[in-house]
Amino acid sequence: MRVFLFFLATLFSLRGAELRVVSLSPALTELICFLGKGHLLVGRSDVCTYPADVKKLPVAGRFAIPFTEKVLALKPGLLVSNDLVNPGVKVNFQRAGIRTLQLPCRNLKEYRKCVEILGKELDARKAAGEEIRRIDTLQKRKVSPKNLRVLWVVWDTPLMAPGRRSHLHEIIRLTGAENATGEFDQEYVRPSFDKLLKKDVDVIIWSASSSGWKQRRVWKKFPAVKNNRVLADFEQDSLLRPGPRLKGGIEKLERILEQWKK
Amino acid sequence: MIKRIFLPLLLLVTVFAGGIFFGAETLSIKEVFHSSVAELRFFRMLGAMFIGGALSLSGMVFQAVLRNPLAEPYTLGVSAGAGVGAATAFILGLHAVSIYAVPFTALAGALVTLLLVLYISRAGGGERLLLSGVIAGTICSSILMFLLSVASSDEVAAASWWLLGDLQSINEKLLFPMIGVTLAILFYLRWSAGELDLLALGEKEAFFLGVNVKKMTFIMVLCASVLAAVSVALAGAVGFCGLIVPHTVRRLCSSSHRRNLFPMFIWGAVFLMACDILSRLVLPGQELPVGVVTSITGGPVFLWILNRKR
Amino acid sequence: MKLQAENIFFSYGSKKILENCSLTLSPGKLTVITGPNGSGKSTFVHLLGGLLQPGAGEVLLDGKNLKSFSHIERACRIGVLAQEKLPALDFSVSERIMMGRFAHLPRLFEPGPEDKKSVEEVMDFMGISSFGTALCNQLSGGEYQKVLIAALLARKTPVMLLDEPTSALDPAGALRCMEIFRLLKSETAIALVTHDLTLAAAFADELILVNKGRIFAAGTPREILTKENIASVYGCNAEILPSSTGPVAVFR
Repeated sequence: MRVFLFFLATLFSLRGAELRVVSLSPALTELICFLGKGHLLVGRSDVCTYPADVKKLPVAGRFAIPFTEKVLALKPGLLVSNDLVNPGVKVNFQRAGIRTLQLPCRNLKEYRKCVEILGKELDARKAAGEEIRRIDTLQKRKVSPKNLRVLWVVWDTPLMAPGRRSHLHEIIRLTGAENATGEFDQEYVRPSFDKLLKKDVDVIIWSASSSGWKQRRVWKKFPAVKNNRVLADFEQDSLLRPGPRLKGGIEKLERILEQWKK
Repeated sequence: MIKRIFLPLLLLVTVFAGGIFFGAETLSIKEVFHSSVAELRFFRMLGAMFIGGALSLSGMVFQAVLRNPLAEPYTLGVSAGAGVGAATAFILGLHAVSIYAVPFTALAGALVTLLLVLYISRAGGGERLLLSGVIAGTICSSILMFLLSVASSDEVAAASWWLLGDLQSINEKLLFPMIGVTLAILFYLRWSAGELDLLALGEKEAFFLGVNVKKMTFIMVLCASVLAAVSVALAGAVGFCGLIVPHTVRRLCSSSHRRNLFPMFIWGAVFLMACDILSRLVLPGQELPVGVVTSITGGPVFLWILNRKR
Repeated sequence: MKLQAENIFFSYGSKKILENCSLTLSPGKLTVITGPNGSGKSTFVHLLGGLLQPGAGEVLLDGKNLKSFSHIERACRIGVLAQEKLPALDFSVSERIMMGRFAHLPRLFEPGPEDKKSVEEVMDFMGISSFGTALCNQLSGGEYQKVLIAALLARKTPVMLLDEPTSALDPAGALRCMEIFRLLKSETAIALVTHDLTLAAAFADELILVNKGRIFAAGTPREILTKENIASVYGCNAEILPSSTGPVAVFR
């Protein structure tokens, strides 16, 4: 009997020792599940909605903003996020013995790093190694130049588009096309219409939630709109968040651009 | 007459033309007549012209009716109300339904705030109205903060950019109704400029000089609010225009509204158009919210004029 | 033109301000209203000018109730100089005086030659022609009061009500001002409120002593300015000395 109780106790303490993770970034949540460690997650942010299973988890914060009491109540060992709006909150978690990990994930290089670190932290080195190889082959892959200029409309009022530091710039580049706002050395920019109109934009990827290109006169001047080459609602989640679905999304985009190639 | 109207008018035409030629790319004369860039800039300048004019008139009327030099759309809560309306549209996703959604919710927000302020302060005078406006504005700002903090990050970005004022996103379809409304109010204000002068003296004085004070105060406040609301609806909350242009024009020209009404409109238009051109030139190929430029350039000019003897 | 108040009552809530006051203003007679602070003089002027409506009784202009006149009609007939603060906007002196002629000005065009002439005339009259383009806010209290009187004179109304027109003026200014009213009174019904009993005695045809919302006494200065009246209204002793212009009250 004693032995049995001891065995039970060991079992529970072992189970208790398993790392509990709260993720405040949809990209990282997705990655954790992809690495086969989704069962470690005990809390998520309100925007973590993929894969569908994670929606069952309690919400412990918003993007980069943890709800401190909620997080403490979930008793995680690790809190991961891309960034923290108020880095001061880390102190509260440290006091409770919760480790915080900020993994910025704005481009492919940073994403690769995220995979590497989370693979180590969550003991999923094998899955992580595979994902890293996938990223590397994606980047080394030869693609035919498409001779297309792509404008990625992240938001339309005001107009926001990716600059050179954004992963969206990399995505466009990896498909063999050119980013119409790639000359700006920033993550996101507010380009002026003047410049864009002069550039002959061939394709527009429309990520804003309105359908402004159908309504405002300005957009009708763009060759992309005239030729009906606007990709709206296109693989939104998988491309806007650098994550495991990036590869599929990029390949799909490339197939579409291939048809339009000049 | 020449100095008061024609010189500013000449300046207006010059700045307008400048706004078409200059931008991320400088156009040649030939290009101006055959390019989509010129057409785009034309509508944008037209927008800047009427928004600048409307905001200046709005500030001017508020200052006269409330007899307070610090009154402008913001102090009455009209702009904040419009902001709440616009943010609501973003958060409910109405902006995706129709391009008219945000402007109309902004207009509704502004008018609802105004009516509430007028209703609450109906028994009191101008000072009470101003105080109610300030409080309503504060409440609206808090509601706005609340809405932004429950919204997801995309909408927050859109709404907060929009609240700084943005002339690039002006919708041409809304521009012409707005111009119509502004011109109608401009001519009505010229018609009633004498009453406006007297209201600026005080309610008692205006009454003894033959003004129906209650009625005229209401109409004037309504005109000013509609001007502010249509501007906010079109281009977001462009700040500072309603404060510095009226004070500057009063200094340069006259405080009598019979004399300064058209100059007020023209100088307001010139000011905002110039700020818009600047906002395009500061970062090559990129846009700066025009509200940033109006504050940075307008503030020092305002201080200089305020401290200069006429 | 005749302005009459017939048994008017006025109160703010339960606080009675005026009770059963009657008076008649007509051309040829300069009426002076005086009384202690808070006795209801300004309220009386506001009622006569139509700003306030009496709780009971009537204000009649040429026999017709003042309420039946439109705002412009009323402003063309009754000119009021209220106790006015400096304007919030920087109006120039000539603009401020021109505003007095609001009821006569064309809406869209510049003021006509007649308007300009009468503005110049009254500025001359009040000795402020040199102010012209100065801003009202740069003037002293007394100078601005002259501007306000000029603005009232520019209106050329047949009835004029003035609430303390001479309070900020120096003795020479006050005297000049009263002389102007004396000149005007043959064609204008004038009532003015003042605390200056000497001026009142010198110029008033009828002196009305108001106390605690009632007309305490009315009549010629000689009848009203008595030791007994002053003692019961102001609660202090005064000696009444005769002079060539009228009785002078010396307080002690």
